[in-house]
Amino acid sequence: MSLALHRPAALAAVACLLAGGAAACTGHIQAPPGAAAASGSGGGATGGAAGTTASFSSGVTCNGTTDAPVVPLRRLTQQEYANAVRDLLAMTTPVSTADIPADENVGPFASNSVTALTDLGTQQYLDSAETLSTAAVATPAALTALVGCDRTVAGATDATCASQFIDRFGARAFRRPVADDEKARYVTLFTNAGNLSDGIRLVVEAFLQSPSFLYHVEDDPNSATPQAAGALVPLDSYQLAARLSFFLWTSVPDDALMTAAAAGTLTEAAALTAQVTRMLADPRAHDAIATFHTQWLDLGKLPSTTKDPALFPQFSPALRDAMQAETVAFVNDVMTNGDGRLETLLTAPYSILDGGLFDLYGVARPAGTTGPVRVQLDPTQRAGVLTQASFLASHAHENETSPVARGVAILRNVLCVALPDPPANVNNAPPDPAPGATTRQIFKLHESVASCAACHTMIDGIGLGFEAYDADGVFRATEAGQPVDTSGNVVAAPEIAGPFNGAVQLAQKLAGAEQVQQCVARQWFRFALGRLEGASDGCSLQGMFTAFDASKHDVRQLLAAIATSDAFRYRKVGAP
Amino acid sequence: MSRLISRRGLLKGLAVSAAAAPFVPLLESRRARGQAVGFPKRLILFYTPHGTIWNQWLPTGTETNYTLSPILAPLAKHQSQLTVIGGLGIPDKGVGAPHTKGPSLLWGGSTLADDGTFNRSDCSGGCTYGWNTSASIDQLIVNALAPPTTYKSLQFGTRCGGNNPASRMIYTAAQAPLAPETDPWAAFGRLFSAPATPSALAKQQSERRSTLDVALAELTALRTRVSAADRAKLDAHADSIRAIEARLQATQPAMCVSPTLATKVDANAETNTPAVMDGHFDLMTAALACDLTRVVSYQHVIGDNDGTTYSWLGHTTAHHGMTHAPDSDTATWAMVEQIYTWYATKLAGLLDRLAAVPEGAGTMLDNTLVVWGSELGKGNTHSFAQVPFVVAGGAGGAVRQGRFLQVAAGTTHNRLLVAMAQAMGATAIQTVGNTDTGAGPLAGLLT
Repeated sequence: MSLALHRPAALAAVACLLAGGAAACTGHIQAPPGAAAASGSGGGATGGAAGTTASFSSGVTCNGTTDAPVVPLRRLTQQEYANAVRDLLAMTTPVSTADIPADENVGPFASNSVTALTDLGTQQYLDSAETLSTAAVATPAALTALVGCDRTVAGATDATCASQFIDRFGARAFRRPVADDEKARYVTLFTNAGNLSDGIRLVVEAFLQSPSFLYHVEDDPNSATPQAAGALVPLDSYQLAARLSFFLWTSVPDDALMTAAAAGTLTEAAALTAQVTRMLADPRAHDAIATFHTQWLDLGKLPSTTKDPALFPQFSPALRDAMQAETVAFVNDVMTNGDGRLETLLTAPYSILDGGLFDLYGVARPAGTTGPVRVQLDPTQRAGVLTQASFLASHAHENETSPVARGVAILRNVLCVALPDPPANVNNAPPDPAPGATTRQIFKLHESVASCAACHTMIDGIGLGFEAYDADGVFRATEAGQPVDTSGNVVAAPEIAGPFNGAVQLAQKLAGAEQVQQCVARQWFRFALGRLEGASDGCSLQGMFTAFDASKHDVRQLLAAIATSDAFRYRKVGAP
Repeated sequence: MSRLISRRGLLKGLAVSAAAAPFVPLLESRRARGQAVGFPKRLILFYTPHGTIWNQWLPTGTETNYTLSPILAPLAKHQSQLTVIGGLGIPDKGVGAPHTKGPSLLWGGSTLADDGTFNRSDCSGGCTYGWNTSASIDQLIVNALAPPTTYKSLQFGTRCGGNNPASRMIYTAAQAPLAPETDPWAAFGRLFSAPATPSALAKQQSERRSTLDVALAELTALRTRVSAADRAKLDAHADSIRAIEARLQATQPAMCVSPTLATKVDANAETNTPAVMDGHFDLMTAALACDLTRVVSYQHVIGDNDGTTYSWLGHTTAHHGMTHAPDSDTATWAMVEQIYTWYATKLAGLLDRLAAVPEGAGTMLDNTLVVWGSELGKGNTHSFAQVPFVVAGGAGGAVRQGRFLQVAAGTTHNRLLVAMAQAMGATAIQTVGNTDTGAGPLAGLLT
């Protein structure tokens, strides 16, 4: 062999011989873990049982009874905190999360469900609350706007204004009315401060540190003690309003939701569905839609992605930001202006471009336009989110593509296929680009070593289909002086198994596959509830799959199905 | 000779740090006022990612007459206070990818739980794994000694990532990571800044207590209404409030003049790494000198994939990727060696700071135990068989300094962890972590 490929040689010699876990590469459905973390009380979970390849949903069983698991108390994510503060204080600038506690993850999604708040974390919330509340009352105008109390009304005093403020602000922060004993503490804070400005500042500061603000509390507000362990309890309207608002807006409920909650109507499925429709049409849904797709497609690494400047001189922080903005704008366009269908998200031959992306995609900016603009792309080159530069560039190395990163992302995140870890002592450094050799030729080594091939036939079979996009996401017809070979092969999804040519064709296959449709549904379920699915979610999952199918895979209908599922509307009481 | 050091002398001593400004060590201040105060022992855990390059790291020579390696050469100035330990391994046990389980194994000898808490779609750090299963050594020492300090311990780090096992190395218990302060300027605000006047300070403390009291009352009411698992979380939150409130009860500010940090920069920006580290080191030194705490740690980036491009060393590619080069790729490893040598330079800067604080006839370094470790031994094999450990400082006379200890094959780092506990005075600790199959301290390290 004429290529000087010392790294792949090392890869063959060192790495793959040790891939003893190859037997696990059967392409089975990614089973949720034992759900010890997800369900709190360890109700064994086997949403997708290992080894079931016949039908994607075959691991899901519904015994026809209403059920939901015990779910652990979760603390707000950084984004939930930032958006909630923004909405509570009517701020027009983004709230910094640089100095509040970092998030845990559940699957690909941020969710703080396991570790407890530490000394430092509590201090960070204190510092943040102090800064935010001080700014909120910094000027007389700001204070007046925040308190929203007409002092010209007869009988209005600082005390009556503060009382109304505590009720209104507190209800939104707590996502339920503030109880009398709770209110008394805030009134005392206000009174002791001695003046309106300091009093409101301290009230806000305390609300922003309250456990009823910082956690997703779903206890029984009418009882001093929990109900019997194992009891299945319907969430009340306030709790449902909170679940809806954090699911679809990544923030606290608005007045309309609070009003509906006060009327107690949200326990009706039709009311929940109507709220989903209303909320998705609201601009506040953009954050949740953007966050879901960013985390689902693992684009979180994009902001720190760099490229070899010698090979990709056009790559810059501005271009990186434009890539991220493109995907966010595109998914929101499909979800709010478009048909909301998964097929569209995965295959649409258009996108919304700005900045350097016109050059990247090789299309001209429409005359007379500025800012982000919707343009048609060459349908032989681009199809939906998986061919957007954000996905392609973040799942690539600095100096070359990564068929492995692209293949793994699609297998695990889009097809929900379980893959074992690579062996610990694998040399998984990407091989350097070699003069005269294509990436495909370099990665061919994976095929030639049996222990590598077990997994990499599956991974590279998908990833090499993306070879028409370089590490920057630019379409290329040739590599290393040779025509690009975009042939690929699907192994891990029985219904679409077999060869394909190029990512556009793959995207079309994926869009039509039940395995993908159900995987995306599961991902939204995890995102919505901040936990992985478990055994007691069987009926909820089946209902969700059925509704998604019936709607021709309209993601908006999927979200409504999640919001009306037992998993969303009930909770199981944990061990006391 | 007066034990009261002059401000000018201290200033001169701290000139090692461009960022450092004078502060009066609390203990000297107390001593000057006639209070009988001994110099306490302090502990610093110093972590850098991805192991080392063994043949460029291992000293040559005998235990007492050795030559520092190229990587450790920047520490030469402190060689008489170093003990370099060659050949120590970390037991390679439990689930999780090597970089992910390494941080918990490193300081706690603790495996990750196989409970699937983390089910990573991208299999980063392993496909499924859980949190750690027991406390890290520094926290075991804190619990054993219960020092009467304002803070039980302080954690610092640079760009330490999200809340997951690859990003956390200090644990009070299973599933209980202590996140590091990653912004020295934010940390400075918490540790050292206070209103200028006593009345303003009193007002701030009173206000903080009043809002924390509300949260505490709510936590107390809520805890009886939730499950046992959730109650544990609320109780931990309540404990943290009580700890903060205890600090707010102080009737006077700490009796040390706070350090002055260099101009604030974005602590999350990779290119600011050297400045951020210097800020952390200034704070760590001040916190120890003022006896705000006796146990600190510094975590450099994360165990799982240090994606830092050390551009200030002239690099254009990131650290982690380079460590996967085969040994034959000498050009790449030469760059990796620059990174590890730079780590030694930064550690030397921290030791300089400690050595610049006079304590009695010596310096704070004499009373401090600094241990430098990594989450594994070698990047391209992920081997735990030989992990680089360097001990610096005297721990108040407990450590045999100026040594090169080449340990017997198969010796595990649990012995070092036990030795650290014993050096600090936590003599009851004989084993550390569920990976420990032996007992007692590392032979040859303690006096």
